[in-house]
Amino acid sequence: MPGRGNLLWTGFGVLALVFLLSPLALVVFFSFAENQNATFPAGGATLHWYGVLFDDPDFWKALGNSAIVTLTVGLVSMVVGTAAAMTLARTRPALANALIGVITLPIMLPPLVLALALATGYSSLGLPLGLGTVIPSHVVFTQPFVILVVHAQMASFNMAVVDSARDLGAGPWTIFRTVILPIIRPTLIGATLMAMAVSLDDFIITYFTIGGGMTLPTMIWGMLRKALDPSINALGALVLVATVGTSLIALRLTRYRG
Amino acid sequence: MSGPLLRLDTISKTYRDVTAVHPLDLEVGRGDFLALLGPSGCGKTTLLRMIGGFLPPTTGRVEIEGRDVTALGPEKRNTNMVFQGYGLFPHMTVAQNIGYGPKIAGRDPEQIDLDVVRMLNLVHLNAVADRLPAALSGGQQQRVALARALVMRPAILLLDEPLAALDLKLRKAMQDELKALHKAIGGTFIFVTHDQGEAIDLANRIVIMEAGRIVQQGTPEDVYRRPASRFVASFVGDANMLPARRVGAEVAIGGGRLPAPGVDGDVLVVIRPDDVTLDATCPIGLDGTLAECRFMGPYQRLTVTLADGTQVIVHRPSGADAAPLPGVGDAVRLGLPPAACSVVAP
Amino acid sequence: MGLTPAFAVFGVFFALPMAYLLVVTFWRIRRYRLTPDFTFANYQNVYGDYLHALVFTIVIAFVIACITTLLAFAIAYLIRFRSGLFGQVILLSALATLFGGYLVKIYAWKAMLGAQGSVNLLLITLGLIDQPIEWLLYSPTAVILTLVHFMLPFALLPILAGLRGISEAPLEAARDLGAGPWRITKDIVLPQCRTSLFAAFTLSFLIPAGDYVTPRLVGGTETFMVGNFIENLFIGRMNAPMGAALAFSTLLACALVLLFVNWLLKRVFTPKWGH
Repeated sequence: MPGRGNLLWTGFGVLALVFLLSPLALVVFFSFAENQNATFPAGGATLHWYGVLFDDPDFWKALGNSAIVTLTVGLVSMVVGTAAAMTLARTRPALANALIGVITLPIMLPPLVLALALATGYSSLGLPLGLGTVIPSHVVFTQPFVILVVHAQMASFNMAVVDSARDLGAGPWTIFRTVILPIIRPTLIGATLMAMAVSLDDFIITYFTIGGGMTLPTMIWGMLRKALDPSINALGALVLVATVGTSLIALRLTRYRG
Repeated sequence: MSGPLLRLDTISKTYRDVTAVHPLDLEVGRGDFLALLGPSGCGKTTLLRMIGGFLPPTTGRVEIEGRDVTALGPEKRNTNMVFQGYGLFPHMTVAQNIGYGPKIAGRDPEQIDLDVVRMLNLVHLNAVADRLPAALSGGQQQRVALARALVMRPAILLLDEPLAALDLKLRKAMQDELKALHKAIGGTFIFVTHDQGEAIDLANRIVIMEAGRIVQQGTPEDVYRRPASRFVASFVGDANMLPARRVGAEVAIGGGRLPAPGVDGDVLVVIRPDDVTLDATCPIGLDGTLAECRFMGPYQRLTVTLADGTQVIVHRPSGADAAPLPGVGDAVRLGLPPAACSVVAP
Repeated sequence: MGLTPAFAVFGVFFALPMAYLLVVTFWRIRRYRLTPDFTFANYQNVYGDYLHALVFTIVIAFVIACITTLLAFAIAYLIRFRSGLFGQVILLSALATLFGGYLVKIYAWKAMLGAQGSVNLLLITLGLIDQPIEWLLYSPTAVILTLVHFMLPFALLPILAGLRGISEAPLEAARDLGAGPWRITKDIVLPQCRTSLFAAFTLSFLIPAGDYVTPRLVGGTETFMVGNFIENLFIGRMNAPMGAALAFSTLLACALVLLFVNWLLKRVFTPKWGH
């Protein structure tokens, strides 16, 4: 009896895996393929499309902007999100869950709505659009990830450890620095990397709040709207490697499995 | 110094509409090994955490060495705690765990090293000084927690269910070790437990709590031999409770009389199973039939049904020289030594 | 205290702009300028001109959410109850691609579903079809396929968390009482992870309902969703009040659907016998 059922489940699992991964694998595959239509037969292997991409000054501009946004957003989300998660860990659970429900609203709603709300708001205030408007617009939907992950870790945190440190004479800041931080550091870094991956990959909110500038995703969008540009596979592959790589490190550090 | 080391004055703790500890007074002397004993939810851990400064009391004051410390947090009190589950710092080695408190206190680094080594010797952990807590056995973790608290030379060492996480065999061993430790350093220990055997074995004074109140305190023998209430009698050890009536400060039972000051009315006569004899010459005697006899290892457990249906449990040593037993169904006469009987409210 | 910065960011960059956008739905455009007013005209226009698009969008999003939730449940079930290492590989793949490549994923499907794309190539190679299927790309099917793929990892997480929260003892008890795998799933597993199923459904319903990039890139001319209209109203026609009214109408319609789904799940998964 188990043999047949297991076979069916294994088949389903393989299909699920293929469904999840093959679109991404094909993008990476065609970024190294000679066929400029990105269809089979793929032709020989080449680094040509990466060469084309690296010769494009726009790419370096977009990369620079993405780096600035991603790093700043990661840092701010980490500090702001951790401070919030620490306080939430000491709040009674019902209230804490309600507050988390509120602060995670920005990731529940379609990004288009938030993007238009922000764009409308900025324009009526007369704020010049640019990286300065992109960064806080990202933090509002990256900080929930840090709060969720760090708060989940704090929920399983052995509070007797904090009591012990207090009992041995440590003040709040010393306790955070010498006891809590060393224990949660991997989670903290992992959560920050998650926030960075989300920020790096964001297109919709960036598109509406950046004005004339460009990040890697908005550059992809530009290439998608122009005539077929095969180096889009190279750019897509780079963005994928960056976000998936960041996520993998984050998963390893946080041991977050859902 | 004269006066008690710790004095609790009308201290209480109320959460919203639940009172965890009703206003109570308690004094603990220097060198005491005091057990706070009671079932879960009786307020004993709340009381311990108020002594340690982790919970601010709703009313009352806490004095340690004659000083009012009510408003001080745990970091400013001369008490240290061994937590339930130990609360060891998982990212620090055993030696670092023990040295943490002295380091925070700003002690001289060389002195810290000496203190840590002294503590490692005291709790026999020199061999694992550089390991992380996760690599230790439960008993070893327990000893690290003890050393980490004791290195602070606390006026009072507080222990929250210190042995609850250990298995039975280890618990017995740690019991001996705790006792030896208390003797060796001559400190004052207060520990919370729900295990009456543990309290009787370790403590020189037991405070029994029920529903946020102290219901009895005294030496282990006091609370075992002379329970003040039905609750204490049933919580500490096995007890037979025989319904009787008090008339004129006396209780008549089994042809004898027990002096029992108090108002007239229904009472219970409490006697431990190991105090009941099969000695027919006892001044108080009860007739019944032997209903069951079970071999329990070191003793035999007899169940005797009295004429009114009450069952009395009797423990008799089961050694080779024990007297021969009557058979099941035979009539027996139980002897109740008056000195072993106490009278409590029903 | 530690919450202040987070809620300041939330207030300034979410709550205020959203509130402002809500206010704007009652304003109008005069001579290309946003003019304060108090009119329901925008909402009336939604009802008049965009109801069709709204219903179409809700239906598509509903289909996507149903497929995604079912698929995510099956995968989560596989990970939790069926296979050890293999399940971990699937989970890791889902998590790793969770935050990666929104645009790249859509673009990848666009390439795969075309007449020359790998899906048609695969079907021809397998001998299932002779001619490439033209309607794969630029159709509602393409939008559904792409968004199911995008939402699947997001839906997987809450359901898996729900399944992990179910302890073994009741499952073994059900087996002991003679229930087969299907009965156990229906009577014990599903009711216990109802809230996580709903969370997964909510996410995979709301995000597609407001998406405009996917229909734009793979939906073709016949798959215009509300997001496209909203974007067009804001950017193309500079009519923010109308776009905002359409956006909030969509959110309201979604909320109603979600309330209904929640009620339905509650009804279906509450044991009825025995009272």
